[in-house]
Amino acid sequence: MFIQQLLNGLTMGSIYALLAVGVSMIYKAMGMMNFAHGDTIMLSAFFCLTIYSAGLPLWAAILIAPFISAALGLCLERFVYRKLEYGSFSNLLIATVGVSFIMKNSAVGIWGAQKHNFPPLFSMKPIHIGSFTILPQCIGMLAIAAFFVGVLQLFFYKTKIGKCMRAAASNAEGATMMGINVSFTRFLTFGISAAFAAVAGILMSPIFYVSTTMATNVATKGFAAAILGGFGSITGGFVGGLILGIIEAIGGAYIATAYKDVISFVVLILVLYFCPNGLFGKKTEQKM
Amino acid sequence: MNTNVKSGSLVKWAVTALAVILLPLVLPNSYFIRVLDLVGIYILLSTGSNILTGFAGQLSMGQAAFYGVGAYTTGLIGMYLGWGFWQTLPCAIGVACIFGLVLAIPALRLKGGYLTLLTIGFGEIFRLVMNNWVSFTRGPSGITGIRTVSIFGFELATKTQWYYFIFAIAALGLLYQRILMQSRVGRAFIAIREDDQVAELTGIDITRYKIMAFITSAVYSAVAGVLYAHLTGYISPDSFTANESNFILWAAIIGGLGTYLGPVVGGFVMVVFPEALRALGSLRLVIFGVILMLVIIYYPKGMVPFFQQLGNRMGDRFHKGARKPRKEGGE
Amino acid sequence: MKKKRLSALMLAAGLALTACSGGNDSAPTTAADKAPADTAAAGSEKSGQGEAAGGEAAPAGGELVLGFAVPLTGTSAAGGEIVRNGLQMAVDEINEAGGIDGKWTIRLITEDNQNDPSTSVNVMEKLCNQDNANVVISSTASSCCLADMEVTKAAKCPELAPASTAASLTEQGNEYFFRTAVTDSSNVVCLYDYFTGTMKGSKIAVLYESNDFGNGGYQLLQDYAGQYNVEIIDAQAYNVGDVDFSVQLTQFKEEAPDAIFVWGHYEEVTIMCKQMAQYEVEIPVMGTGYNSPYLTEMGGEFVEGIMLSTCYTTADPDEKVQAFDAKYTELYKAAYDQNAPQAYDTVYMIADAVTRAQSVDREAIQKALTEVKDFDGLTGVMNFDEKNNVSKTCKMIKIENGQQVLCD
Repeated sequence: MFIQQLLNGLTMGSIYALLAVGVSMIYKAMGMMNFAHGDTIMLSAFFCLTIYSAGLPLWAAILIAPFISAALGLCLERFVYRKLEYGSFSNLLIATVGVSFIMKNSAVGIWGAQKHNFPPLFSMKPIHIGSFTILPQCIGMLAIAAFFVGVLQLFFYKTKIGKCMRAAASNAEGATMMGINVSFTRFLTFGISAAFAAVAGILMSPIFYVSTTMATNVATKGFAAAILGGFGSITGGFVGGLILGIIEAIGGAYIATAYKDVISFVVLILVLYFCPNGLFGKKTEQKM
Repeated sequence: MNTNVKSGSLVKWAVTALAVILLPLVLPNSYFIRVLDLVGIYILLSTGSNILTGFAGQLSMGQAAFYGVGAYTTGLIGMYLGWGFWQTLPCAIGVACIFGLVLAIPALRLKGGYLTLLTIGFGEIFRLVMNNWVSFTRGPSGITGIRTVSIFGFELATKTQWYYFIFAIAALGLLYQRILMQSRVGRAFIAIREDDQVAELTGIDITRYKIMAFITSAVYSAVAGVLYAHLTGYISPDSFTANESNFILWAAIIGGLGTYLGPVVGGFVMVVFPEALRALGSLRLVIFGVILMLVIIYYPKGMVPFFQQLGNRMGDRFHKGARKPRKEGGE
Repeated sequence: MKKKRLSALMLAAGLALTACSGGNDSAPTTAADKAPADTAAAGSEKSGQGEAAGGEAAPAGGELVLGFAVPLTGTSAAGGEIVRNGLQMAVDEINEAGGIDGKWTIRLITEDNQNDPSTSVNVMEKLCNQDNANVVISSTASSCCLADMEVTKAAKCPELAPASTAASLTEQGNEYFFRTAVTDSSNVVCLYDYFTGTMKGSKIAVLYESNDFGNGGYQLLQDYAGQYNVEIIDAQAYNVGDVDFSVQLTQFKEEAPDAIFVWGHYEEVTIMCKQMAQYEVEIPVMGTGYNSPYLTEMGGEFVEGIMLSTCYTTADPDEKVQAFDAKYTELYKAAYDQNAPQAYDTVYMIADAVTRAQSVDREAIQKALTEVKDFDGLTGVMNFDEKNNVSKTCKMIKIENGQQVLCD
């Protein structure tokens, strides 16, 4: 029973992990909370579905959607957030809330409030290991999430542009003095984060269906996962997501399913109280 | 000259007060007044947010929980004990103090995104518990039949009476905000907002003042909640969502964080605009969002500093024009 | 300086509100509309409303203003759209035929309440006091109805709810509130009849939405359980928007009830059914709330065999039902659930009341509605009980080959 619930938690955990990575990246590079990340996920799912419904094969839609989403992210950075000059934390935050509000309500106008079906990406047949059941989508999502996190990690640590982006994120002034175009690295970070949102959106679509509210609930959990892992660390966010998913499943099974969201937020508050930098966060200066 | 300005300002205050008093009389029906009642409630809510975020620099996205604390204390006490407004108000303030303290303790060491998430989590826990603890709170069905307020035996029956009651309380709230912020407490808040480490070095007890900021803010929101519950007569967890918290913070920011009159402008914009834009149909919320975004981008300090500049400019012109003839007359 | 700003602000306030009222007045208004507005301004709101309705009830006929408060944005916008289509269809039909009894054309005013109780009160204030609606039809969420019914009660304006099933709505003793949606107790009776009668079952597990709808349903299932000798061995709640039911389902699998009773909507139910297949939980599913064509569209093979209780099904060979189905599909090219025909019936019920009352006066309509007798609509033959709940009988249906079929 316990192990079965633990396995059950991995599916949601991988989703939280994907979200956490996306928001962590932005927080680290710009010191801002991107509350529009969930809505970027929702829009990318709609992009993918619209392309697919237009008659293109699914794989093509899946390949194209992240690019549209990235373009959207780049536009937002260029025309909205950059205008705010990354100055006030609260203004940036409320600007993302505003972007989220506009995205959500425009989406209702464009695609309606209806939920839309999305073709399954993985086999529906469950896999049995001993007496336990595990779903292929769970393994698939975990693998894809892990793969993309690995790719990002390589990108940030092994490529020149990635190193520049890290330098710009940890110390913008210093990086500028070293000749790094901080404005450009921020621009790029936003694009990558939005493309990452598209990956999450496509993976979520068959499970959540495509709708304007598909990411509302999980978006906050994505932040919670990022915090658990120590905001700003990619691997931390990934592990934080998995932990959150497992906590929810086990809490739901042994306490009450209606309270599973409460349980995850209580755990979040306890973690923040006892280790204010998250479970894996290093003590770093925080931007305000 | 000095007395001139003072009497001038007195006249302006009197005109403003008169405008507030006369406003409901010129409005055609109770729909408009109901909207104004909500503006009053929002002024209190965003004042709470303004004190905590604008003056003390502690960002909170869980204000709807305090709002709900006020409303639910009223609803539950009314349901189980049958008490009225004058008994529930102090209870709600007391409960709000406890909740403010509960949030303040883990919040003391947190900043930035960590603090934001803490407050969001707090707000969500409150709403979900109110929603799922059916035996105690009646859960999603909410609490019905909350009685209206009676003042010395006089029951507030019409929306217009409510309007005066709410605006009187909102005016008191704004006045207290000003007194508090100009006192030592306010200076300490601002010092913490600017740099809490420096504040601590200069001998400010930051723990005490941060807790104070959270509690003050909680009390403001809870009073708004008490008023809302009595005004509407019904409360349910649907009214205290994360979206509501966003709107409260939004109101404070749009008005101008750390300004005395920001909450008035913010409250007005956040409540009246969505109603006034109804003629736009399905596009209304999109356009409302775009308006808010434009304000944030072009007036990052909020509407009040913008009005201030505008007023100064117009005032200068007015005074230049007006002063000359007066001088001539004097000679 | 600051005071000047404030006065400027108040001025702006006045302007915005006037602009707002101006916008709404652009719709055709009669002199009778204006007069009560002034009366209300003088401070006596309630009496103003009575006169408003009275003034419009000119025997020469005229207009019936039908206010409609509905979520068109926010979480339950999809449901709102369906109700609106049903209403619009009936309103258009009546107006094309020359109005109610050839005398009153219907003007439908739709306002978005964002599924938020506080906004819902604003909307109701607008419809009753600004637009002077003669009758209002209210939104789907019960929390919105509970909040806004105080307004209609004060304005003595009949409010009809074609989509709200929560029992609490008609427990408020509000004589101006009418529920034209099928009650959940009718659903419970129908489900238990079939479960204990045809299926000969006795043990059930309940899975319900943690909102007014689900909680209310669970409460009724408990209330009626003794009467039918049904034992509820487990009950689990879930939050709207949940996509993972593995925890609940794996528990049910171990407990093996005779049936799982689900009180929820198609969004979650289809996901539930998929996961039941994946976790190999082979227990019959029955319940209510998920009667929607999207159930089969999204659930596909996974919802095969799932049963539900409803007051409206396209499997019904009845002529009216088939005609409605054809017309709705042609007009809106979209799927719908039982709320569209329920909304459609509601408009005709109002028309029936107005015809009998020969007046569009609010109180006359209220009185005529209480006297509805055997109103024959798409969703059955209807009467109101002493709490203004409509009585309808439900049918059990089953999904077979992607189609709804009546259970025998």
